[in-house]
Amino acid sequence: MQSVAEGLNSTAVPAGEGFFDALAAAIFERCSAAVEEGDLSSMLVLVPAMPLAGELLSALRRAAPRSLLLPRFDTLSHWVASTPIAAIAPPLPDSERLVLLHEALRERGWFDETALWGIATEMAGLFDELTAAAVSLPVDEAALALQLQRAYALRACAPLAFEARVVHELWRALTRAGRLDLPATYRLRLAALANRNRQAGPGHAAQPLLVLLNAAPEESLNPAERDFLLCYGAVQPLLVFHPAPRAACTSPLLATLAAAWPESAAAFAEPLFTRAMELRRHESPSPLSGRLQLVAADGREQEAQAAVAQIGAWLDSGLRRIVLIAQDRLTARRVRALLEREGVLVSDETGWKLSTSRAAAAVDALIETAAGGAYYRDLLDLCKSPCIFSDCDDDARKAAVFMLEAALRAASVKSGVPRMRRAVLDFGGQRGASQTLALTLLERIETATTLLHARPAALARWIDRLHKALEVLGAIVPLSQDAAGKVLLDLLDVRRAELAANTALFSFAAWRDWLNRQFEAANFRDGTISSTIVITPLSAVCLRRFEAALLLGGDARQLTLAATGEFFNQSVRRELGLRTRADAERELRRHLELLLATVPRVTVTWQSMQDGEANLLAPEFALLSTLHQLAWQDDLRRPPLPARAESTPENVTAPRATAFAAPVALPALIPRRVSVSGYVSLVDCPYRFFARYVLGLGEMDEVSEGMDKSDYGALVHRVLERFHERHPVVSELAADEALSALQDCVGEVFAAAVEDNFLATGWRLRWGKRMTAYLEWQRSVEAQGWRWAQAETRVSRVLPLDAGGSVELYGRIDRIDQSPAGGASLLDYKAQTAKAIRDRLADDVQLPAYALLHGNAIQAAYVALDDERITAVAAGNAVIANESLMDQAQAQGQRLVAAFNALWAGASLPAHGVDSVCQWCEMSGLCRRDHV
Amino acid sequence: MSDAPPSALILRALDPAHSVVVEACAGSGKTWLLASRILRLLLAGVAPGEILAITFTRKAAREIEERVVAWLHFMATGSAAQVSAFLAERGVVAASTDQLHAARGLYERVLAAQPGLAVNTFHGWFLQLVDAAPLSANLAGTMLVDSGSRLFDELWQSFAATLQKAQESAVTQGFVRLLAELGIDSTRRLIRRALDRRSEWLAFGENVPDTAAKVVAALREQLGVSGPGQALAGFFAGDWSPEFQAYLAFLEVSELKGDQEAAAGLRAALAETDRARCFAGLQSALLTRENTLRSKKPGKTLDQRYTAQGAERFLELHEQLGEQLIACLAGQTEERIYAFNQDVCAVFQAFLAHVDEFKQARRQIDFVDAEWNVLKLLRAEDTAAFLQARLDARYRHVLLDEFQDTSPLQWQILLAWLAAYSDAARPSVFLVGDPKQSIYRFRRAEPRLFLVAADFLERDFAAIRCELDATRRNANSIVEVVNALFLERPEFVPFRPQNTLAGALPGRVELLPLCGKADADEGAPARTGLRDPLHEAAVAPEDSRRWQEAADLAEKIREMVGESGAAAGKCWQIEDKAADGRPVQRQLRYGDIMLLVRTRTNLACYERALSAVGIPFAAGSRGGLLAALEVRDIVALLEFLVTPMADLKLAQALRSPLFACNDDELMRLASRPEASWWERLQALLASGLASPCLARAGRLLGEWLEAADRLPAHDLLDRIFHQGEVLARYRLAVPEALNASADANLRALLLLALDLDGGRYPSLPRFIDELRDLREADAGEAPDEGVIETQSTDAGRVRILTIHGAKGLEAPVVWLLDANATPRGHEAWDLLVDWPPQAPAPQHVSFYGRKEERGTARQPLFDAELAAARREELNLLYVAMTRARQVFIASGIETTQERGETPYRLLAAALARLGSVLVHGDKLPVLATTPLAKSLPLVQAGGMPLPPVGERRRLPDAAERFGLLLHAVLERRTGRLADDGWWMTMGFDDGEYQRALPVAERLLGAEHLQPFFDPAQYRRAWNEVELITSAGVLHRVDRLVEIDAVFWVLDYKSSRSDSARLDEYRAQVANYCQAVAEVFPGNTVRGALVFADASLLEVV
Ligand code: SF4
Repeated sequence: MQSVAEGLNSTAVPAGEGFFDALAAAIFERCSAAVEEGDLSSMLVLVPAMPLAGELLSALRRAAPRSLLLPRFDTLSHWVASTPIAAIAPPLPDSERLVLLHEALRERGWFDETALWGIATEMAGLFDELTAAAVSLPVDEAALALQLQRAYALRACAPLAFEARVVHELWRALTRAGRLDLPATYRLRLAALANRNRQAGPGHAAQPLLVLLNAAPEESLNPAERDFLLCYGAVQPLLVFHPAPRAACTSPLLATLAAAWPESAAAFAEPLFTRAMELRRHESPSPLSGRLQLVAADGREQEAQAAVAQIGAWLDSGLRRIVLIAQDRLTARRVRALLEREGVLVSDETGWKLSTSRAAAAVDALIETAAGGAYYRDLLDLCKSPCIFSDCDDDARKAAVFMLEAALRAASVKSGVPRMRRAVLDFGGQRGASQTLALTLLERIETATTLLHARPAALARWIDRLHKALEVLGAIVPLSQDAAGKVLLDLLDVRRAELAANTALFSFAAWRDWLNRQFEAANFRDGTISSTIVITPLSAVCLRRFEAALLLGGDARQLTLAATGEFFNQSVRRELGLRTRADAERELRRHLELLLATVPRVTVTWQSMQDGEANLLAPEFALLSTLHQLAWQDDLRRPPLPARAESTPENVTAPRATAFAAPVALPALIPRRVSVSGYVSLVDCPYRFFARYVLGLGEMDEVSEGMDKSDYGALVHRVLERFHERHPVVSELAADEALSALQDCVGEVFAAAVEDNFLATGWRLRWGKRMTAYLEWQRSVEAQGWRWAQAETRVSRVLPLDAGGSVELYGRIDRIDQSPAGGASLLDYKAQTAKAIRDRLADDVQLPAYALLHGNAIQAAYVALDDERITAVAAGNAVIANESLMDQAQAQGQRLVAAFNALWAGASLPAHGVDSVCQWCEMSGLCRRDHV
Repeated sequence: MSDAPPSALILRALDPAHSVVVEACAGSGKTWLLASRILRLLLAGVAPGEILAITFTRKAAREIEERVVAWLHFMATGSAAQVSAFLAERGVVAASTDQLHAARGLYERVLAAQPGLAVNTFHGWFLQLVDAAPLSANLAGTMLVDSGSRLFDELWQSFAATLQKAQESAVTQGFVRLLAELGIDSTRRLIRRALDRRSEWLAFGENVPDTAAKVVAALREQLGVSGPGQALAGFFAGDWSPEFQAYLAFLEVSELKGDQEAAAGLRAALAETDRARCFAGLQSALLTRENTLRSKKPGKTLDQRYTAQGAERFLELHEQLGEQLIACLAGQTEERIYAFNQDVCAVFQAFLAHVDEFKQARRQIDFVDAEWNVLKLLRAEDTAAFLQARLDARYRHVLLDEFQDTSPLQWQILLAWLAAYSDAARPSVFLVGDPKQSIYRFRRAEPRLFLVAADFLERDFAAIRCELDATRRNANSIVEVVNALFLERPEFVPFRPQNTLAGALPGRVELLPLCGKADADEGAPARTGLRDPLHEAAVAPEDSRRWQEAADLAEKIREMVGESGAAAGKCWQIEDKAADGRPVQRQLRYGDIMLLVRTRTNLACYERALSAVGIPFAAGSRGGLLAALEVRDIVALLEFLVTPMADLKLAQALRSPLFACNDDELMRLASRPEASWWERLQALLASGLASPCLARAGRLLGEWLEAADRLPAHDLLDRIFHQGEVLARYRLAVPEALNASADANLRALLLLALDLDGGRYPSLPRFIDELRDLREADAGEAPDEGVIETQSTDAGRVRILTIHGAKGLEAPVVWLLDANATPRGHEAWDLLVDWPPQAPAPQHVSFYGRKEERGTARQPLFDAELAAARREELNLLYVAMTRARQVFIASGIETTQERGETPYRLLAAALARLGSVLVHGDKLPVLATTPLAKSLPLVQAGGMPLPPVGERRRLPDAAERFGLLLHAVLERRTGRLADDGWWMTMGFDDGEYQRALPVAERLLGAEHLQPFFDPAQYRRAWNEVELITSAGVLHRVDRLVEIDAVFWVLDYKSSRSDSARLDEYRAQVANYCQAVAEVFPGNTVRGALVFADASLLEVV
């Protein structure tokens, strides 16, 4: 069979398992003379993709009539690009073209600065498409606008004229640059190569060319390539082959596919039903059953499990050459991980965006640290990257980072290297070496980020700065030893070289945007895995003879070829001669046709439900399934294979059903001292007490991001402490004197917080509103004869226990007032409303405990600081409210002693907090309450 | 739908020839109608790309799409008779052969259509329009982001920082005033709310340069405020005092203590020169603390004191002066409102600018921006036409579903879209909705739009109107209660009595007695001393009633499914549909029960009660993934892995089923001296004294710490799941009722990691940060809990949903929980917007604060809001009730507020109207219970290990790379031409090239090698040539040279000639020689090794 595309002859070979053998036979037949001589080495074989060279090679091996030197293999585009042609200047690199477009846009000031890289990239893509399709734009802008109007079926309007103008002006700006871009150079080189052979003319040593296309020439070659082959074929031996399209019906299978996906409008006129009945009439067995199965899954995890089960079944039956077609990249990643668990490695031919690598993440952490003024989360992220500080000993580095983090948390440093340095210096402990190293690390980070805090510069200069910064951080070596890191460094090198002469200046932000786009556009793949199971895109499967194929994501949304640019709409693209969605659709069906023809077992999985939403099977498979159902009463759908087994935990370490926690404290761990708040936690929930004071666990310090209510409370405490120290008796001051004195204290205490975060002003004003009321309350207290005496008083008391030991209760009392008559009043400030305090007074421990510790208090109260009027809420446990303060104190003391006696006697500490306590309890992960 | 012939109403609604407005009650089959209409359009030859259907949620959109495609599939494959019947149901009676032929072809036509059938949400459609926006709109390259609370926090902080830099600016000062007046939380809330509603703000200011100014000016007019202090000035204007003096005179006569005090105060006030203080004095003399007039009652005492005439005068003065004061106070309030609005507007406008700048810099837009931009684009004639042309599709038929949930802004967009059509090309419109089911006020849904739109379409599109009042879903008893309840509510319009097509389906509405304090507190022990915390848990009184309700719920469910003690073995029987659509009776399963709540607040309580008795349920709490204990465990582990000092995190991981250590084991660690717990664990491990569990933990944690450095989050988690046997271990540890949800949540976490990993710049610390942010985010943004898979054969799980979440769903049994809660009132601190449905833009926009600070001028607007809110509460109840196919139950707790309407009280009143108490309708038939299969875990035990496949290679080292490059240089220098810098494209750098080059030069320049390199000296030469032998063996030869009929096989070695592998090399070359000899039989073949030092070693 011959396919003739405007004069180019291509031989159609039936697609299927025998494709390459047929191809090899054809080659040996057509080149019999060379075979005779044992030398095919002058021949060049151009394949659509290099893996196919391997397939052809094996076929040649199988079919070779004798020993011989083999032809060379290459792909057309690589061969054209790498064959030196002296007269053709190196192309304008894409990177430089992009900068030119960016500059052209910037000069015109049409768009926001931040949009420029995006628009430039989109334009570059459009121009590539135009060049590849051999379309040249009309010479003037108005003509283009007119063309667009026609295609859009729209009358002249401003947005359209502007669109035409943007495209046209940029196109001209590029032309003015005087250098050809890559696609244009490619066309030129094709022409030159054709020419070279024409000039060489017949008689010159023959350079036979064999071209294997993955579809008929009119589908697979662009105009320039086709012209080249025509010219070449005129003077040199040229053989072109392609797989026969399904319409040729070279096998029952392809005939079935042709019926499912008719290519010609004529076939389409008969409904699917009729076409299926036609197939049925032949009464032949189905060519697809056993070859294709469609498996619906209920979600991503199920799809991955089904895929793994399928691959497992294939492996069990001895198959090894398996391809995973990853329309759905995320599921593929999941599948890969699940297989790796079981020692099945998968080689990924697709690769990943560089931006998704941890190497790029480390670089970004550096840039983010620079951009965000060394925000602690970024800085720690950077420090924890294994790509950094490779010149330090690993353990030492980790210890230093550990120490740095502890210091930052303890001092609550949000950002800024100098403050962090301070925090490290102030951090207690004897971690000498770690401390020194932590300081060194900070210094290096500071140096590195300073390099990036520089004035606008050319892109090459920015890359330099980044490189230096990475050097300072000792990142170059580890990056170059990492697959993605190596790609990243190479990418930077290449761009630096390409852009060396470019002088356009870019701000940090614009450069960063550019860099992000570079990382987004570049791919890396982990070349360290070699496996017969590969992940590859559909288009790359083509004619490769895998034993089995698994297509992930066979649903309507994912099984598409999105290869068309989005700049114009489809009708304009059609009008301009650019690739349209219809082309993509045809190509997709071609790929599927080759896949089904070549690979004997294909399983397609898709998620029929996604996040609870229905998700349809791709039309291609839906049609095939329907056709098959009608013709052979089998819709090809199969339930997923049962998921592969997971190992079961061994008995000794296996968990038992979660039980109610009620541990008995080891005597050695029973605390000898307990704070009042410790006592409170014992009353709230004994397990919480256990976790905090027996196990000695607590939450880590957190760097506070903004001021919260507890910070507010602390500051108010400090204000009052300071104020009363200065003015123990407020009644001695005039009203406005007192107010301004209090205001001074507020100003002093809140200053740092407000400086740090303007929103703290809100808190300062909140307290500001209460000051008058507070002074009023204070005066009323003084009027009753009380005098402020002490603030923040530490108190403690040793309580003897039955078994001979003792427990020491201690605490700190916010404020103690004295009465001239003797006796003290204990006050505890609370930044809460009186109602909130009263609501929680039921089993109040704190004040009676203070009274116990103080020993000589005649009253105790919480001062509620959050109402219009300040009030004191007297202590009083609901149960024993009518007893005197000291009696209450005694009762609390007895309860504590009883509890400790019990602990020593082996009582357990049950986890029985009430909801309101558990809700905020940091120990809920230890007591396992939610799972009991 | 197959049971009855289509009504004339439905036939009219489906006729593709005209536009239609359908008001369809719950359960009347809206989706069926919409999908049928699409089908009819397609049958009529409409291209799929000409149809645009818009519905409210993505889920609904996918459902409609799926339904249409399934029908088309049916028509493509069914028998002619089946297809005819199918078409007849949809109004195509006695389809012709041509019609049948066309119907058969539709499946294929629709699947292959470019552009395809568009079933979209407003959201999705607007984004599509934004994508198609012209370049001039400056939207190119924008990225859609969710503007949730995380983003807001960041913006709020940075906004504050910019204000701080401009302390003197008016905005900063306004901001500080707001902080002082409102406090930080309310200010934040106000701005946050306004930001979410900024499209209304923007629409209000569409044609003016300064929206804030417009808002403030309009408000000033409305409030009648002329300036600060004007109210007071007005009060004191003119000769105001004599009447107060007169009033004072009266007071002074009185002997009452209160009057005396008032007189003293008044006297002082009248002597006061400062107006404010004077006013305050007057105020307290005449008005109460709450600023109402002090009560003075006419009567004998008064008459005695002042004489009758005097008393009259006194009372008159009292009233008149009081009114004056109150009026002045009201004026002052309006002045404050005005001042407050001035500040908020200025701050909000500045904040908006800040947000815009921030987003511009990042090219971000959120959905509100998208919506607003679309409206702007469509309102401009040029761009509207461009947008329509720019889309690939040309819509000729627009179908709008759930129209009651449309907002005024969306309606304006639709109007603008329709206006952009030329009259000739004007599309048909099909609009369906039910104002009674409008429950999205918080998303600006405006139910009144339905009528406005219907009128508009009737007028301008000659639309036909239909009303469907028959439900196919609800049993008659439920419909009776619905009618009894809602017909009584005049504001529940449009409502007509509903009827049911569900036939003799047994149905029941039941109210459970409210749980009172008394029921719940029984049995609380009386105590004398302090509680002993070790033996007695505290009780929180406030929860006990709800606990009671939850316990009743659990008990009743067990009874219904036949598991509870008394009724064990007997369960309710319900009606279901078999695959062929015929009704079948079967036993009630857990999966048939749907629990509804108004808000999520108290869900945990109900969930706990269910799990306590082992009732499986599907987690109803959205956004709760990261709060689930099993997920917190794994996250704690990860946090430990990035921050090994996190002792508590480590302890949690140890204590979790993952490592299953008990408290004693934790105490072992607590007793050790090392600083961190990780160090302690390692030391214990080293001592050899670790328990098996601790030993396992130490070993695995060590490995994972290492892996955490290298692996992406998902891969790390997967390894943890695998090596840590996570799923299996949780299955053992977690109670049965929670088992499935724990499993689902753990898997969901894994997938979350996968999603986050697919993004830019993944690192474990960032992943943790991200999780932390997500956990702290609003419930709406936080990741949802895992979806539990259920097999259709098992008993399923009770579903717990909010009423909003249940929209579009149904169940045999529906239970409304907490039905006696009073709806929340108006919340303070928000934007007040009046956007009448027919208006192109809001008529009023302003801010309001506390209830007592709302003034009177805007009262009608507040009233309208309140009425709308009340109405929506009724809608919610309507939606909740109509979810139930057979049984609707409501329960609740007694509240202290006995006022106000609650769903429970409304239901009770309706039942009373029907003459029922607590129960209305049938007693459901009971069945002997047959045990149902338990749901199987996804993963099964057993199975063979897989054979190992693939291997990890290391990357070539420097020496190997050198060798590769040397070969490449030699190849290029002796034949193949190459461009400058070719080595770079091969992945080598300049340094490497510079090292390889001299070695290559050395070889090429070596005298004794010239015969192989100098073309003048040989006949033919090949580089890197591949050859096969007759046995099919493949070789690759570095260089093959033919000199005088002798073939030389050269093999380059980058090593020196004293290589240890010499023998190996020799054998290799000998092989090559043999192969070459086969190719060129009869020729001499010789082989040699060429080393980096240019030495040549002849081998053959
Ligand atoms: S969560 Fe509750 S039960 Fe557990 S330790 Fe905390 S307070 Fe106690």
